[in-house]
Order: sequence, then structure tokens, then C-alpha cells
Amino acid sequence: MITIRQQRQEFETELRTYKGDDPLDVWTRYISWIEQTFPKGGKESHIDEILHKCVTAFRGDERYNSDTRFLDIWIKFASICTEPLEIYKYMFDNKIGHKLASFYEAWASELESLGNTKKADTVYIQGLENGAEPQDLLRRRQGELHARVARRVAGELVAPPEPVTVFEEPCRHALGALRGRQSGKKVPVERASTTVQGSTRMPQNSDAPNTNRPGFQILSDENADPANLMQSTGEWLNIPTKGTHKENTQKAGVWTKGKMKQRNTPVVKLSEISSVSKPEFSVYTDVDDLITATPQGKHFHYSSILSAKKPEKYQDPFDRFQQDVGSEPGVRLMYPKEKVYCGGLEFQLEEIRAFKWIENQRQVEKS
Amino acid sequence: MGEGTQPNEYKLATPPDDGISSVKFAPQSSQFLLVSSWDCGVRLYDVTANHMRIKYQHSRPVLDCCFQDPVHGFSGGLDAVLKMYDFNTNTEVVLGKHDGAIRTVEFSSDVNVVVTGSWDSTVKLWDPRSRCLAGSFSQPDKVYTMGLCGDKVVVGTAGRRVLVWDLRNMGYVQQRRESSLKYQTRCIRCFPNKQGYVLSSIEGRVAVEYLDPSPEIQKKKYAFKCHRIKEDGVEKIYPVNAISFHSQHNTFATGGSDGFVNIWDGFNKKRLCQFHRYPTSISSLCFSADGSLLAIASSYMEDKEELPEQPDDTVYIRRVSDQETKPK
Repeated sequence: MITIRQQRQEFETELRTYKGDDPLDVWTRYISWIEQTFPKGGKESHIDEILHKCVTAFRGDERYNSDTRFLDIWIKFASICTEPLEIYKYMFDNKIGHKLASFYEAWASELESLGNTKKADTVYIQGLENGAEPQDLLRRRQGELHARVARRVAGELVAPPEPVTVFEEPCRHALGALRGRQSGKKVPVERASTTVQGSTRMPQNSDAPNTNRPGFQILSDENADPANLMQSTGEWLNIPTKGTHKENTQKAGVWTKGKMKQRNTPVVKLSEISSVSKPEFSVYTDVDDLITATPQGKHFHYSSILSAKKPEKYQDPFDRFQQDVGSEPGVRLMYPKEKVYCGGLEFQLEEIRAFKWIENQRQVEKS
Repeated sequence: MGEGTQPNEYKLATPPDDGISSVKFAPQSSQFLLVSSWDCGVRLYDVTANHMRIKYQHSRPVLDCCFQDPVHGFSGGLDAVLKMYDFNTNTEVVLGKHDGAIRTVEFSSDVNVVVTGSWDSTVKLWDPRSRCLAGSFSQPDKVYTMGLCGDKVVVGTAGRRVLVWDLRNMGYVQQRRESSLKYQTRCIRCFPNKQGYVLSSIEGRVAVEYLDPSPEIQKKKYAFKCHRIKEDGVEKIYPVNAISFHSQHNTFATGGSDGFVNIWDGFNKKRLCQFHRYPTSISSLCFSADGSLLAIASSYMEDKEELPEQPDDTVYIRRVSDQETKPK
């Protein structure tokens, strides 16, 4: 019986030894194997790591920009990130999935799930403008979005019209690609062919009053030019990941050992206290004493105490990865790091050499 | 002698035809050296006479070998088979198999047991007298290296894990540790005085660790950078592939893919000396039992960009002086 460990080992081996012209193929098969073997994800599955490594490995590869497999991997990657919108923005800026309708669909559903229907609509418009295929899918999705928005605006006072998505009741998508589209969800198994957005589809009781309607108008910024939202900003040159928005980057440790970093608050020696705190009454001082007293310098100001804390320096996770593969300036790693640390497992130099040896042996036996 | 050799060292005649995976001196004698290779062969050399005595084969490359006594040796490799060889009668016995390649083979004279670590994520013990398996113990990941320390074995696996087992009581793991180095573990060897071990990593670093878990002893552990070469403002970082201890002085030699061999005084945090640069990566090192000789395997490890012509796989036997190996 082949164990999971062995199967993983085989995929990892293939990642390192693949010689054909479609390296993404191995990654795609590996990722779908992981999703089927570890439906719950988790650390054991190494899925986060592998998705990150995969998108990083091929992000500059133009031949994959319109590849649905690559797009799927990106969308999965977005779904594990805390800020999926940044990933979509990054993809848009880098023209990944530029011509694919499913990219705009995934982006728009993410926006819509966050309540930004206006921008979701812009995304569809942009998709149509960019000539993303298939066009009808985009139009249909846009139509559905409009329908949902209209329904919400109408306050759902009237029983909603027959939903457009009627032919797409949640159902198991047989033979479909496994893909988790919703953010925050690790489970990549998609049971419905499309996630029905907006309406919760509660069984509507005709005589029950609709309680969903908010009693106030939600403000939307009319002046914001929707076109502005869609311009390539060129900001996202690097891939934002989970870690980007972490507030506490420091690891938890033993409390007694932790050392608080002291901010630049001036330390006042006991002997100098008199020179700092000025009592409201005048203290009698000897004239001779004044001469020897420390002059009150500028460095004793306490204004910084109530100043806003400086934002933490933005640390780009992609940079960190680059350091890992040894492109750090001034440093050159003298071993094939991309082969040692590929995928989710690490391999020894001897293991890589062993694959080569076995492969050569096969060639010799063949000829 | 050939070019580049110095009066205090010489190359072994009839070296292996492919990469040298391991060199090991016999216990209590500096006459015999066992060498395993990627050419599937294991060779016994008479170092004094500079002559190859015996050669036997595995069906696949051999990754490690060791002596039990001057007449018996063990070896294992990609064929996953552990072989015992009798150099007097020229006969071999297969002791058993792992489910994956055998990466490391050691003989513990304290416990009289052969220990093998494998990429199948197990460590197995073998009884050399009854010539059978004495036990199989699963490890958290693929075994990459092992160091013996009296009746303890320190196992280094993938994922930077380090496990300390008691060979006399393999019922449980004595200590589970993580390497204090950031990158993959290349080699672990233990201090002859049994206080601790030295661990080297794939990115030019070596850590000195102590086995005693008490905080005041653990405070003494440290790590340092080595096997790095600065050239035109670029620092090249090499894997540290090999470690060998001097049995009397508790000093150790490290060998890297930079082709250098350094000797260190681990307790005083000092480098004692550095030898000349060898033609290619140092893949294995071994001090003789009396500490008078150091066997140095200089052998391309397919770890760098491929050059059209790689230097020959060579074993250098170097006579080392107290000045080079004794703490000052």
C-alpha cells in the first residue's frame, strides 16, 4: 500500500526532476492531490506553503497568465490570505488572468461578499472591456449582481422575482475543479457550482414581515469615480500574503524573558530630577548652585509620550522569500536551494543526486 | 606525489570512480580506512602502504560505511540493504533492509550494536553477532545524519529536527530538539567526552550544543559562521558537509563545499587552523583513532553548477600535528 508520505514524496520528487515544458502541470496535480488527501487543509497539508511557492515560482511566466490552472491556484492562494482583495489587485496589476472571465468573477464575488457591490460591478465592466472570455459568463454574472442589488434596494418588500440563478441551485459539481472561492475558508471542496451571493434564500413566508431591511439608508460615496478604482496602480509588484497585516509579528515567548524595547524616552538621573520637573513655586536656590547646575537642554521634552505610535515598518513577505532563495544582494548560496527547498518538504543534496543517478541508470538500461 | 600535495599529506592510490560519500578509520588503528562511494563500491585501504586491499559492491550507490573492528565492516546506501563484510574471509552477509535508502551507518562499541538511519524515517538497530534486526524506531522525518555519544545516538532529520535516543532503552525518545540553525542539517558528530555534539548546516554555519538539559549548561551553547568566502564584495555561502572529532583533544575538523578544512576548539570558541584549499567540495572527514591522521575526501557533490571537467574524487591522508589539533 502506498502511504500518503510516499505519495507526497513522489510529487516532491517530480517537482525537482521535471524536465518537460509545462512545469505547472506537476504543481497542479500536486495541489489537487493535497486537496483531496487533506480536505481540511491544516499545517500537515503544507498547502499554504505550496500555494505560495507555486504562485511565486511562476508569477513572472507570461505563458501562464491566461492559463486557467494558474488562475485557479491564484484564487486558492487569495482564499487563504487574510486580505484577498490585495491579491486580486496584485493579479490585476500583473495581468494574471487578464483575459479570463473567472478572474473577474472571483474578484467581484470577493468584493460583493464584503458589501462593495459598486466596485464589484466595475470589476465586471473592466473584465468586459479587457475582452475576458467567456463574455456571456461575465454578462450573466453582472446581471445577477444587478438583480441582487436591485432586490436589496427594493428592500425585498415584494417577494423577490424568480432568481436568475434558478438553474444553478447549489449542487455538487461533478468532475469540477476543486476550488475554494470564499475568503477565510480553508476547505477547498466546492459543493455548489457557484456560490449564491447576496440573498440568504430563506424560505419566504408571504405573511411574515421582512425584518432584513435596515431602517436607515447606507451611505455610499457618490463622488468617488468608479473608474478610478480600476486603474493599474503598479503598486502591487510583490505578493502580499497572510503575514502582511499581522499586528503582532513577535512570537510568543516566556514573559519573564521578554525584553521590552525601550522607546527613546530620556532617562533622568535622580540627581538631575530637580532640573526637569519645575515646581510651580520657586525653589530657593543658592546663586552659586545655579552655576553648577546642568543646563536645561532641549533633550528633556516629553511630547513623545502621547504621540501616535509609528506604524510598523511594512515588511514585504515576498522580499523575505527572495532572501530565502538567495538573491539577497551581497550573498551567494553555493548549493541549489530551489531544489532543496521546493514544495512543502525539504530534500537533501544526496536525495537530489540519487534521482539523477537512478534516472541515468534507467537511460543506460534502455539503450 | 601529484601536484598540489604537500609533504605532510598524500593522495590514496586507486580512488573510487565516482563521488566519495564517506571515509571511516578503523577503531584502534590508523592503518585501515573504509571508503564508500557513488560508484556502488566499498573499498578497504591500507593507508600505511597506500594500497587498496579489498573492494566489494552494492547494487546502487553506497552512502555510508563503518567498521566494527579491523576485520568487519558495514555499509548501506540507495539499495536500502545493510551489508556486513568480513575482510579476512572476503565474505559478505546481508543483515537486512530498510524501506528507503540507508543514509547513515554507525557501530556503537559501548552497546555492541549497529545503528542505521534511513530516508524511510526510521532508525534500526542490528545485532552483529546474531546478524539480525534488533529493533526499528520511527523518526519524525527522513534521517539525514547521526552522531554516536557513548550509549546515546543523536539523530538529525529533515525539518531540522534533532532527537536524542538512549541505545540501551529505545522505548522512548530522551530528548526532542530543534536545530538551532535556520537551514537544513548536514552533519552531526558528538564530542568524545560525551558532553554534547556539533551540528553543521547547509548554509555555512556550525552549532555547538550540550546534551545536559539544565539551563546553566544550555547557556553555553553557541553557533558560528564558517565556510564562507568573500569575493568581490559577494559572500559565497557553502554547505558544511563533514565533521570529525579528534578523540583526545575534543577538537573537531569541519569540511565544506568550499574545499576548505578547518580545525576548531569548540570549548574555547577558537579556530586552530585552516588547511589549504582542496580541489573541490569536502564530502567526508575522519580522524584516525589516535588522532595522528586525518582522512579528507575531496569529491564533487553535484551541489554546484556543473563544470565541464570536475576534479577527480580523491582521498587525502594528512598527518596532523598537535599544534594543529590541540587547544592552545
